[in-house]
Amino acid sequence: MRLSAICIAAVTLAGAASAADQQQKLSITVYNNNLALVEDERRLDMPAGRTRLEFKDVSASIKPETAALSGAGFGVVEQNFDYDLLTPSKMMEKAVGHEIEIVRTIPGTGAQTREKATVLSVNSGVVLRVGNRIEVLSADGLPTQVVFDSIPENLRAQPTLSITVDAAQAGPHDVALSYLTTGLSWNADYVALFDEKQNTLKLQGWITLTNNSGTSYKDAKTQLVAGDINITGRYQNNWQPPNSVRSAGTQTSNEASIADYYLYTLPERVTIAEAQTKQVSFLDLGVNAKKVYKYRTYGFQSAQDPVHADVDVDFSNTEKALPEGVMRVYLRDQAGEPKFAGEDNIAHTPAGSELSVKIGEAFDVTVQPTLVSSEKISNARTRYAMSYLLRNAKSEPVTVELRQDGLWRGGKVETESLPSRRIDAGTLGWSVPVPANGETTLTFTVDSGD
Amino acid sequence: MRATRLLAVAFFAACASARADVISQRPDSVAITFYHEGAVDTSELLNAGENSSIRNSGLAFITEKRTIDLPAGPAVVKFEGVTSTMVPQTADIQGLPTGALERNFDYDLLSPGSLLAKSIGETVRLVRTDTKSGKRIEETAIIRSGPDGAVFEVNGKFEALHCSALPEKLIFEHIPGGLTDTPTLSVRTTAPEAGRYTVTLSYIATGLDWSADYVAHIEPGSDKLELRGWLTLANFSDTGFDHVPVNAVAGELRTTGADRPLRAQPLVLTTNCWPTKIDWAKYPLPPPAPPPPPGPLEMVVVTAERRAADIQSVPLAVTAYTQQEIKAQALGDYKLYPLPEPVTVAARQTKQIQFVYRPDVTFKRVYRYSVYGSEADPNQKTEVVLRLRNRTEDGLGKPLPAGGVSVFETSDDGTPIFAGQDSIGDMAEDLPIEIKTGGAMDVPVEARVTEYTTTGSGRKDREKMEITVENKKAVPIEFEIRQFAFGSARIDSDAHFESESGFAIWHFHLGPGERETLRYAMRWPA
Repeated sequence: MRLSAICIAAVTLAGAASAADQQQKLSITVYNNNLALVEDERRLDMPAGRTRLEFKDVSASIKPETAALSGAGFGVVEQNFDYDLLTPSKMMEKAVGHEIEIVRTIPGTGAQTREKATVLSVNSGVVLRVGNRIEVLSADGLPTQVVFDSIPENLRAQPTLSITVDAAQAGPHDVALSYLTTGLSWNADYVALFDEKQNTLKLQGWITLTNNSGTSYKDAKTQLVAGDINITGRYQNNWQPPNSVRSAGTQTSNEASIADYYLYTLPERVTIAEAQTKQVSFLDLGVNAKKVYKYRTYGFQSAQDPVHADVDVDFSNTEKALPEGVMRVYLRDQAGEPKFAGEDNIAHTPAGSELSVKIGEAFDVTVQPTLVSSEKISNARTRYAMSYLLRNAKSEPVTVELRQDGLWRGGKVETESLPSRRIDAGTLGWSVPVPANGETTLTFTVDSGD
Repeated sequence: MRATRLLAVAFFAACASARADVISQRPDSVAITFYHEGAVDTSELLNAGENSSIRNSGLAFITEKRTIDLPAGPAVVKFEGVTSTMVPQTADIQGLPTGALERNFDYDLLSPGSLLAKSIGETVRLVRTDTKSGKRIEETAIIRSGPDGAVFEVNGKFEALHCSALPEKLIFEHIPGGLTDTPTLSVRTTAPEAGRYTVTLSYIATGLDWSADYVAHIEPGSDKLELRGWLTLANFSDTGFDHVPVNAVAGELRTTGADRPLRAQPLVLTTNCWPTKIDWAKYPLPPPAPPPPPGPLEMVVVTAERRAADIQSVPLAVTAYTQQEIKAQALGDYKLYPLPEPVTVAARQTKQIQFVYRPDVTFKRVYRYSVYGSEADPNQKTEVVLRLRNRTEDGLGKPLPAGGVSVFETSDDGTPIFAGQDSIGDMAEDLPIEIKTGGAMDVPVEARVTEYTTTGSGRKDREKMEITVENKKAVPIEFEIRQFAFGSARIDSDAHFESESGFAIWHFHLGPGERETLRYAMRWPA
């Protein structure tokens, strides 16, 4: 943030500006969906009566309609947000009817001539009146400087928020400016080191804060809100990443909460620079976890090639709520070095939830389904005979959790080679043991129901 | 550039007197683990432009060992020389004495535009040079507006930059804080005492991919093939790796699409001058937009992309170890292939290393004709299929990562002929493998529906098929007819058939010149 933090319009005391800076205190609350609340507290010297205050150092992505200035001893008359930006061509357009100075440099000698001119029009060319001549600027292609006496009042280098206040008494006032801004966002990134021998998961959480708002925030008290906040007038992305939560928890996490959201406060004030991704650790958790092979199928059909079983890591976040983010799972290789092993999305997850994170597919554990026969029992019911060949090329036995979807009302198992259990109305589940370097065939016949 | 960076560092140091800046310029050693995302297609990589999204694909895990000298107290460690395609939020730093208080990735790039934008309100020197005499006139100016068209103030008057066609430039005293020449990863940490520390920086990067490619050679008349497997490593990032240990991981990892490198866009400087070049011919119809003004500095566009090496010279390096095999290790449920020695993976390079060599793999060549619908498709050709079993008894018995298989057959005069290409999925040990090489010329098939009946409502409920095949080759062949039996279809056949993967399959052994006719019926019960 630039040091000239505030400029009070020309009529007011210029010296008050820098004095105010040092007391500036920033608090930022960042939401998941590209939104942040900025609170800017400072002490301003105000004369009695009306004063226009210009805030040049607010976020470049401010939503000006959300700005509010509060404090005791003054009232807000009006607030404006001006975004007519100063450029050379704008300056010339605003100079129509006014006098400018043109400086010509004679190429041969380098001698300069200075003349006053009045701008008559700026329409795909600048027409000037110089004395009693009418000329077009730079028509001869010679180097011609244009010197303006002043910058038009409404043109600014940056979009500027200005607030006119009416103070009862002259003197220093404590004010708080708050506004919403886009360009700031955060999510969580998790590093999960999975030890499949010990069945433990070492979970580290990082808050990843991204600032593309066009402004830096110096020494700001920073809070992050986890939760889905409704925002109007914006495209609502209703797509949710595939949910890894198997059963939502009922525990209250020990994080502070506001309303229905969790609040994470960074331990110290931080400077969030423009064009920066900042990461701060917020979670260090060891939980029990186990690896599960899963195969899920949604109908009764054959596959020509074996399909690899999914590898999931199942665990519970006993104490801590997990804000939305990406969980990257690492495994140790033979040399003991952690290696990346896959990643999954995590939604906002209450503490005590059961999570199942899919990391990838097992190279050595495959399932090959065959529809042995299907016959019609009645118009809507079919009897399917399925055979699943499960192969395991690992040197240790595994158990594959097989899920067969596709049962309808009244659907039931007629025969089966291993006992099934009903996961829900439409889904059957088998835990199929497969020996080391061996195979198991699961066969069953079901009445699909209607 | 070097000098600029030093200046910037000096400036940062002056600003942040409380903590020291430590710069780690390069890693002492690097190790890369490549993950398989898709088949490596070097021609596609060659044709992909500088900003093609293909550069965001591929995935690798990079581990760097670095030595840093930390002073006692708080410090900021900046990591230079990281892979340009680093995914910053995946960075992990181990080995700092007290861990990382925070990690930052700064990508506010130093460019003419950002230099100007951050200098608004600052005093700079304006230098104008007379082209004839070479005389320089220097004045003090205050920047009043930024990169959308600069306006500056000299002696209380206002002028525009680069609108007068005079040679003019601005000289800045220093680089505004926070601007960086290249996106930079840094950590804030505190060391209890000064000392030298070895830290491990690991992160995910894109632009690196690998795939397996297999080459099978078949001698005439042989029932064994020679199989070579190649690890094809592709580096389409900007960073080269010299003599580094490399691992390749086989198996399907789940990814979320969140691992994308951050591409910093530099702030572009424009002039936005008033119209200065008058096109009299167009009068009185003014053009809708003012044309850009003349002058060599009318527009400065800076991009962050480093210019790649001449695209023509992208090399395809092949390292052959004729008998070499690489033994897979387990990484969870994936296969990890450690390359036997450090390799150099240059930027924009595809490299191949042999990892499978099996000289005598038993295979069976089968000619196959498939009927998918309820009627024969006249375009359906007889396929040539090579069947293998991934087991030691058959000369194989190795995990085979997914990839393309190219089959070469040696002709009678000894020259290898390319016979076709197929792709296989990840093949664990003991799985059957099928390689389709193409259509057979000398095994003509004639298939027709000889008769069908319908129910009262017009639904086809029975159909008779007749398929005739002739072996016009000089050698005996194994031939298969497959009828896809979808839904509740039933097949009536006097000849013996097997059911597999949803097909009814009839097997034939045909000597040279032999003909065979198969008749069967399909039924669809109500």
